[in-house]
Amino acid sequence: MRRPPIGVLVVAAAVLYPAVHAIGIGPSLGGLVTILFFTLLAVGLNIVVGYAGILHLGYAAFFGVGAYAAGILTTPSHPFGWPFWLALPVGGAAGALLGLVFSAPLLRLRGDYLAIVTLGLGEILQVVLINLPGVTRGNSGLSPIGAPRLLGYELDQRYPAFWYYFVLALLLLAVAVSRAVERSRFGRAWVAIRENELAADCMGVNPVRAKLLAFVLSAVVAGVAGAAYGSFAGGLYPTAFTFNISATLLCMVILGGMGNPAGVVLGAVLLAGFDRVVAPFLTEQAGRLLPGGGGGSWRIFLEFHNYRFLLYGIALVILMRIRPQGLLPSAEMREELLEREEAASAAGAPA
Amino acid sequence: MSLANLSLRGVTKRFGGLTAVSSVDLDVAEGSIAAIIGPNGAGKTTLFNLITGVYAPSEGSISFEARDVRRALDRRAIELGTSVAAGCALLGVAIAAGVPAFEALVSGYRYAEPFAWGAGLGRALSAFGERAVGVVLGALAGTAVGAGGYAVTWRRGRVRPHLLARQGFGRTFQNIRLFKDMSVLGNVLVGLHPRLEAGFWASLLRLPSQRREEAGARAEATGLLEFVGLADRRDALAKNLPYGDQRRLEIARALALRPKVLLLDEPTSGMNPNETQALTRLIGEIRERFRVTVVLIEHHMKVVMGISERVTVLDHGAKIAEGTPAEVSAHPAVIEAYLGKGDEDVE
Amino acid sequence: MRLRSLGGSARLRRALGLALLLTAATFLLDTPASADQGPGAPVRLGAVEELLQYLLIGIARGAVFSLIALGYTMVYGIIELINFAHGDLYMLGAFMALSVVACCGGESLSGGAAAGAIALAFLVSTAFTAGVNFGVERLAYRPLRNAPPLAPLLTAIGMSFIFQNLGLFWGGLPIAGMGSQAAAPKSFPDLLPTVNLVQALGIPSGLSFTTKDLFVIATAAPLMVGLTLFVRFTRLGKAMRATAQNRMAAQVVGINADRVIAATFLIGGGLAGAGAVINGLYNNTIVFDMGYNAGLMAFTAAVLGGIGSIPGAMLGGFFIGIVSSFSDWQLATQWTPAVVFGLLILVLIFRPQGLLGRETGEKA
Repeated sequence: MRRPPIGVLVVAAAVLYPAVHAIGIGPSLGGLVTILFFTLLAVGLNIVVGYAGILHLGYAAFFGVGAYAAGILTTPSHPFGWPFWLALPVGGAAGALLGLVFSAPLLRLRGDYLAIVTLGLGEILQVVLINLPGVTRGNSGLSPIGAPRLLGYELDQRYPAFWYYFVLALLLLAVAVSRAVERSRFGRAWVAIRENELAADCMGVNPVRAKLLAFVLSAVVAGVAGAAYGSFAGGLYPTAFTFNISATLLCMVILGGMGNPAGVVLGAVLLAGFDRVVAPFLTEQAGRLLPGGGGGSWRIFLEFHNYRFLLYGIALVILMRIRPQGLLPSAEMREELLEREEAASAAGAPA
Repeated sequence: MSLANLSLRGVTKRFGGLTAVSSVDLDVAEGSIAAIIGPNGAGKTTLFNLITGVYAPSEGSISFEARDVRRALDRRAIELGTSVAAGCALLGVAIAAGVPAFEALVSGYRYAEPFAWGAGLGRALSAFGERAVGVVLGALAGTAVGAGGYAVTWRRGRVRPHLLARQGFGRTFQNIRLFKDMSVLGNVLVGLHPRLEAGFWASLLRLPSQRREEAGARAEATGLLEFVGLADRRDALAKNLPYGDQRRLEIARALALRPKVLLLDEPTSGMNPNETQALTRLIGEIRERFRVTVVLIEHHMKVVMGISERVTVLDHGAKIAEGTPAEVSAHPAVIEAYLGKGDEDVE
Repeated sequence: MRLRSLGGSARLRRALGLALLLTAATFLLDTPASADQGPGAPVRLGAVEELLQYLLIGIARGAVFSLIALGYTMVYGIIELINFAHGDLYMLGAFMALSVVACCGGESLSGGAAAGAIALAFLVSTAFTAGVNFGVERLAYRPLRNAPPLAPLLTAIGMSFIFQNLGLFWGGLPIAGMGSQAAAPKSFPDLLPTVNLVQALGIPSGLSFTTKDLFVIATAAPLMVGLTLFVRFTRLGKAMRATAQNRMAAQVVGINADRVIAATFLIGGGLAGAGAVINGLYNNTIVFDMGYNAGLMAFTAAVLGGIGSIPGAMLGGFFIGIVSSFSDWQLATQWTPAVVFGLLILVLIFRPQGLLGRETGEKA
């Protein structure tokens, strides 16, 4: 039986949404662009976490490196003044380079140590971004960042429809790349080292090289996303690349279903959707119901984005307990479920 | 006896104070079936791990087709180590003077004004010059850290099973190590991985050449599954196979490497007599069909006596006897080594 | 070897050698030589005195790191879990301590009342963090005992989020000591007398070693000694060591592994609580996201000492304290996290078994 083309429907809905929004329904396009950026990053992170099974806790660093590399090249406060379209691939390359340089010596570490090292890497980058004001402008931020030019238009935030379609296109590209590599021998090598590294090694798979490929590929996605994000946001601040971002992305990947881009998209849309759509809505409603927010320090309980990490944490803990494969598990998991059904029906069938 | 194509000389492996394998010599003739037997903890699996590169021997050498299997690896390591050291040296220079050089480069730039690049580059170069000592120190420190780090990690993980697998060593594991959440076919396809050539970009774009190769690989893997009798379960998940089938799948996966030497670690353990018999036959067929040298660790004496040409007996890590099955089973040291263990394995 | 080795002297020498090397390295890094104004050093110090001063700061800081690192190392030693939430547990302990002290009267306390409040804070905060850690182990980690290794780690990360968010909300409660801004740093009442012992003893030096510093060491040291004695000589302590070495074998000889693991979480949690009180009284400021950094520092300390080794975690804590203090001094405060994490990465690459650990054979 063919799977109903849910993917096609989702993509069609996403493509058509701006038209719907044009008649005044639903959340703003600008807000959705942020969600799309998160989704794009989550799909990139999935390559390293979902496929290769490396718990990467410093993904925001790669996002940041791409953003700053492209930002420095395009901002008028530095003399380079590159066009955005040239800086975009440089962002990806910068991410790849960082991934290569820093992960090469580390990939032989055991899983949990590796996780901590990626975390440390993210922290180091954060510190570097803050403390090199001559290059990054430190805490005061690198701003403005050059916007892409197309047909004589300067496409900054005033054109949310452009950004919506642009990031959507990047996202679809990232999903297509993930899918293609997943089905190739490289994808099989990733799953093999994730499942049993020693056995994969003995079958001629070089674990270090396979992990490096996953690391670098996901770093490219992060770098490109960063380059685009800087231009969309119009300015870069070190606080945009903290552990909180890495952690949020990780939650998206795990909630959605490690190893399945569709699941990851679902996870990202759910979590980022809560953050950008549901929480502001609830906060607004609460503000309307309780003018003055109950006064004083109680207000924090009525600003719903403050529940973000509580929710992420609870989701992680519960998920690990009852459904570690995530909401939409990967193809292998589906096959397993299918097979159980078959076995059950075979057992139940009359002889 | 024909020329040995796998030969171990004085191979020793120590873990801390424990000597797991001590000074073992072993010759396996091309195309033969050799068995390694011995009580539990005799070092049989450790020996397999040494042959397949999971461990590096503490002493001794292993050669295959008259070449030391390690030498090629060491050359590769030197090449890679050099490039790592060079990269680290660059990084050291960047840390020592990169930021001041960058600042010198862009200094004097005014917001949105044209910029004199020539002068900027000159300033950047002189910034390097001013910090010549730091730059040299950075480069040296980078080289040292890079080379040292590479040497340390290399020494720790200098064993590279995947390189040996590519040289023709296929193996199975005592405690089955399948890719449990992969399909049966997928498991065999992993074994084909080193022989597939499609590059990254070809895979990304799903070029015709890559698709052809994938289709060929699937056909070959299916053929191997047919050979071991698992073709009808090819889409099942490996972990859902019954125990005996899992062992067969491990063999099919190892055969996908087109090994010259197939190492089977207790292939019949946990099997009932019927399955054991079928597997014994399968091993014979494997040798005929794939012209492969087989080394097996086995507890079932019937299997060992039935198919192996030479038997090596290990006890406490040392070789205590060697010969044809008949010679070995009459050897007093062997009988003694097995005596304490009871007779359930020595039928 | 886990939870057992007090370290051979050769290993200790190597560790000391590395410490010296790192110290030398921090000196070599070029910093503008003019701009060193040590915090709270009114009298200009000589080079040696300055070194001593920062050494003292590092030791005081390191005592707290050690207490947190013990929680990491004990849990890792027994169930091989990086308890990611441990730093945030420490933060919760600090909030509990602040609440207790503030309810008792806060800044206005003095003399015996202050001492009583401090004692109460120790009691309540330690019991609180121990209980929370115990409960979390029971509810979140125990069901995952046979799950793939990354599942408990992810659960721990989830617990870390939950704790941190609870800390944020705690700061927003309209209770004493929390102020009006939930996310803002809270000031912890300064209940300890600050008498410079160097001057009080009439030593002619600009060094500062206050009663506060003494307090840190005088409270942390007995805890560490007590823990060491406990692990060495009591039945439960021996059971812990046995379980850490080989859980299966320990169960075979009749050790209830679940109980031992629960006890480990209890003790580790309690030490974090004690560390939190000490830190609050010493630094006088706490904030809801302080657990993240403190946790990473302490984890680095545990790795440095050889994760799983109790004396290693103690030494590692002091070592990290000193390294961070020297980095504050020679580089700049804002570079210190990068220095410590860089150190962590280097140690993991070159000596993953830690400075005091021994290499172990891996089983294929």
